[in-house]
Amino acid sequence: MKFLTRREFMVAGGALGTAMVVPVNVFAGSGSKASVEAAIQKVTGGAPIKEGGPILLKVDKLVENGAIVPVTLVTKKGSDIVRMALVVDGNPVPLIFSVGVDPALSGATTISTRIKMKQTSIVRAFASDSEGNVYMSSQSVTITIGGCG
Amino acid sequence: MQTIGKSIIRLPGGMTKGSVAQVKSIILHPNDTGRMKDRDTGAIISAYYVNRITVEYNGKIVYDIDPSPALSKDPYFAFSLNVGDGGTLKMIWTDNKGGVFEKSTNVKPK
Repeated sequence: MKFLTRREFMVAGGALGTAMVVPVNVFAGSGSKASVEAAIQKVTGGAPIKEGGPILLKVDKLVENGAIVPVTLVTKKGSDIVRMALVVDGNPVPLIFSVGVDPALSGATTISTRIKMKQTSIVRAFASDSEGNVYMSSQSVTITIGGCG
Repeated sequence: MQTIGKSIIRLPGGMTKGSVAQVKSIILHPNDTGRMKDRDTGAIISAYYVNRITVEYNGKIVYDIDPSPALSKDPYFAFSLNVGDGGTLKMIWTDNKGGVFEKSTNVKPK
């Protein structure tokens, strides 16, 4: 077997490195922009989105374990929110959940749950009131170890 | 795996009539996304997750949740509830393999 010179070895190594990077990029497309837009379209029904308002998303900025990310969605009292949803841009399925709410029975709606996140990404909470206004609260969350498998 | 579907609903103490209480719930469920591989065999673990959670209070639906597999293992859900004069709180979890799990508890505010 012919031994490679240092220069040849570096070139070959570079080519191998590129070959390994490309498939990773292909998989990163699982949380693609198109699927995020489709999820948001499904949530809002095409209505214009207003930032803030009666919805507030509470989530840590830095989370170690992506398998358990605690999130809390808080709405203001008397804001008449009938539908809420959570979208994580970087997940293979961006729409995490949507929930129909009866504001008379829920009080000032506060819901908490724990979700999985594959990678560092923006988390968006949506809330729609009975008049069809859509509000959004979002935050970027850094994940140290991804939890989507 | 007999524990799948075992659930807990926890009410706060010292509720007063007409107040808004924070109720916590958890159900034991693997919540597999269908994207994970078995560490030993390499076979993909098929999707097995809770795809609907309903919260009823005195027969009326308060929350009707439509989750994707991205809820964590053993889905936890905490929510606010206007307790009014009290009554029955019922939660129903449904999974994608047809499992239906129910739990009821009495709400007795003072």
